[in-house]
Amino acid sequence: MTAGSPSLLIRNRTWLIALAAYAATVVPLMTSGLLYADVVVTSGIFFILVMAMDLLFGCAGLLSFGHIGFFAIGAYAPAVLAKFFAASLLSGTLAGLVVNLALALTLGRVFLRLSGSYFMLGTLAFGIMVHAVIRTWYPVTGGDAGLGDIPRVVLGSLSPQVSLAIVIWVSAALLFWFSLNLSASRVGRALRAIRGDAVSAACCGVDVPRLRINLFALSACYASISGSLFAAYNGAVHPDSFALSALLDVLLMLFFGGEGTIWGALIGVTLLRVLPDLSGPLQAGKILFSGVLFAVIIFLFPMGVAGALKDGMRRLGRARDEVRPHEPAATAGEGASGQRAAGDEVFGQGVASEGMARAGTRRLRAAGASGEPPPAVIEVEALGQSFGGLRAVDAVSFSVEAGTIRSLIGPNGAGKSTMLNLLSGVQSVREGRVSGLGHRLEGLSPDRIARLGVRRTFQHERLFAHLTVIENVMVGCESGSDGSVRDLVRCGLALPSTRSEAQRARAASLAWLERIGLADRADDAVSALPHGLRKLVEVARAVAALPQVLLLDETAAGLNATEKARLKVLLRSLRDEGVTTLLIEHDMAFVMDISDRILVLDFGRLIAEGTPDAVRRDPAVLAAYLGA
Amino acid sequence: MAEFLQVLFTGLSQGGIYALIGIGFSLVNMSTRVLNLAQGSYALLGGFVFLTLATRYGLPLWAALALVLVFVAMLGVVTERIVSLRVRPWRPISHDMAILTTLALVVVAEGAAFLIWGPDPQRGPALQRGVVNVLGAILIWQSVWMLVITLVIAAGLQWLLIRTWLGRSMRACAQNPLTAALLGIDVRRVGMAAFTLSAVIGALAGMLVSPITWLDYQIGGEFMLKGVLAYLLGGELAIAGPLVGGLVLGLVENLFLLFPGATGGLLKQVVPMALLIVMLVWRPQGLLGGPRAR
Repeated sequence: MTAGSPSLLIRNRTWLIALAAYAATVVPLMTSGLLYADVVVTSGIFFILVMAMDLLFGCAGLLSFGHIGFFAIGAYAPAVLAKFFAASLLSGTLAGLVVNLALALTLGRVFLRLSGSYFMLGTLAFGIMVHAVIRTWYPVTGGDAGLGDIPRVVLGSLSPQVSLAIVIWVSAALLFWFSLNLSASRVGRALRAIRGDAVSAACCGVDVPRLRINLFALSACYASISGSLFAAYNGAVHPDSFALSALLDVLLMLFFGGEGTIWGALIGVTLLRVLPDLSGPLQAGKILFSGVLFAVIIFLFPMGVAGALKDGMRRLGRARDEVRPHEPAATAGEGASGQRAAGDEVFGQGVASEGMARAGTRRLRAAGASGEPPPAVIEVEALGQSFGGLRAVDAVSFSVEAGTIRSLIGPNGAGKSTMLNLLSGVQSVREGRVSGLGHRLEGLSPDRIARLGVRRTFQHERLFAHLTVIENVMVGCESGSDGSVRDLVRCGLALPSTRSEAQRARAASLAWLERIGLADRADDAVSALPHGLRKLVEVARAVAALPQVLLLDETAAGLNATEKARLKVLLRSLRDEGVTTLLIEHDMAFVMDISDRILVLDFGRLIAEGTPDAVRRDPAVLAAYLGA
Repeated sequence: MAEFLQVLFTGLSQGGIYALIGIGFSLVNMSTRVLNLAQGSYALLGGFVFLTLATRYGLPLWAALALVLVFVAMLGVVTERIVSLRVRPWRPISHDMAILTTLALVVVAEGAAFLIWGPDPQRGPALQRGVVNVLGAILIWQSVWMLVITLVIAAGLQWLLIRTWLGRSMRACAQNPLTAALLGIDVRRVGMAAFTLSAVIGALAGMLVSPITWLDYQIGGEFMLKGVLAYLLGGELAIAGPLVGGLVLGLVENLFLLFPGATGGLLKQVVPMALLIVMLVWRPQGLLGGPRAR
């Protein structure tokens, strides 16, 4: 599917279709005089700005009120540089980008530590502050009078207006293409995963803080470019364009278009650029008008126009599906045998990522087979954790050998889940030491531990609600994203390597879903699945990464007999492939049947360890369970 | 020295206004977990209505004050109703949508103020004209009253929170609204009371400050920013947090006015933001601590 395409830009066609449809609607209106050219050109500018916010809000669930500030800096940079240094528009734009990038990286580092509402407050404070600075710093920014004489763009023999219109729409189209690629790539999936559940995303190997900061910076760059184009188009800048009501206009475009689709921004921007023209005689009431309009739109269309359109299309699609029998294989564009082959290949060599080579475990197992005891993949020494006065885990030491299934049992409140949280890095280790797969694990972040090859599930299933079943498994399979700039750029440009990676991940994920019997529900929303199946999907998400160590927290709880049997088969075959499993379970029949050895915790202390038979007869265990 | 003392005092009294806005913000947030950005708009509308009644219609100050408080209390109730219009027992409030709605209200207030009072700054009548000389520093009586009234309001609210049924209900809602509801507290009415109270406090701030800083239609956003900063700086202690945060903010801002010319004005804008960033890095829970879990 990657071969044969003439260029990078044409492979993902959504952006072309959307822009063509847009041009087909707008150009006739413009030539017939119903739409001012001004509206179309400024739409391009604000499209870029709204895209910036949609990348952040639609994908990552972060609503930034500070983008009006980045926009303002992007606009003032060329104006100020032109005034003082007679600099060209391009160098002004670049200067704006540099300043915004530095600001976004600094602010992002601080504000992204805050939870949702406080992030909004922090960025809002920044946005208002930029406006205040512009008004106050009159020797440089011209204060309330603004700045003029911004250099014009001339392309060849075209007039300045036409040249600028071309520059604006070409930039908008390129950035649109980049955003769509990013949103459809593994970075986009990782972002929506974070939006759903940041902890669980980290446990899938997504470097949550780094990815969010880099996305914030990228989005600030969009806003900066948009600001520079805005300044160039108007030939002058004035503080009123960056006031609170301007922020509201931009939010209005975002929410009217509908967040999360990127192309919704195009609709929202154009419609709202047209509206103020219609209300021409009400110029004095413009601020009031946009305030009221915003309130009304939030009430009437919480999902925006794009959301409503998407909903309609989905309903249409469902109607079609009922006519035509569902084809599970259609998604990857390969036949069922192809999937199987792809899946087997994946099991054989591992597409996943660093440190996850199955060969290592094989070697470990080979060593075990040749007479010596199998080496330990997890070693815990004197591990402790207190919550206030409660000792949740108290000086526990044990080790788990490679390629075995180990169960961790104990009465409620014995510290089992805390133990798993400590091993997976969800809680940081303060006492004792943990090593796994030859690395010291204490002090590592959950995503580092996940990418070393330790994956987990949660006691209360934590799937990503904004993703479909197969996308959930794909996040596990791809190890999300390490959040680096390189990763963002690769995915945004849709390089052939990232595309084939994505296809392999999809095929492998489908194979895993088949293995747990859910291939036909691959494209369903996660919320449509019953509880038991969701827990199985969570297991598939964990094992799709081909981990060397699998940590399961009460996965069998809530499964029915068939699903439990399926889980047992899966765990045994994983053990035969060399995976080491540590599982928490309350179902004793399940535990006794599947475990090689069992650990028993009570009040945070290890009270017994041994084979199932030994543990069953252990007086301390009987006392803990039966109170005898 | 006298100049320093003067700046110090002006900063404190200015900070008192920020504190009042921040306290309103904090009251609503603790009772309903809504971040009400319209907090500054109560100051805007309250201040403008007060100066109109007092100067254009010549009402005595106490009558104008009473009318404004009734008007603003109604605004508070209306805000609460608008924010929770879509809320049903099975559909809890969406905090993103609530914050956006209140942002829309800020702009509605700004637009209305622009239509009614126009673009030019205006000032209201002072409680007491003239100045007083303290150790060589010349203080405006109005700013003395600003600080005194701020402290009285803060103390009164603290008493209300600790000693009264309403205050205890608010604190209960802050900890766990669901449990509070199950224990027979009418969470909606507590929320409405919080909105009303915060609107009244906001309006008082607007009326107090208008003789000194003047009001224009855009000042709602500015007040809101200062309130938010006071709240973030101070920490999430219901009254003391924003009070201390506001006073510190006012002090820091005004100290930079000691720099001459545009530099001072610029620093006044930039330093609070820098302070916030430093604060969030160094002490994310705010000056006075308190958990910032949500």
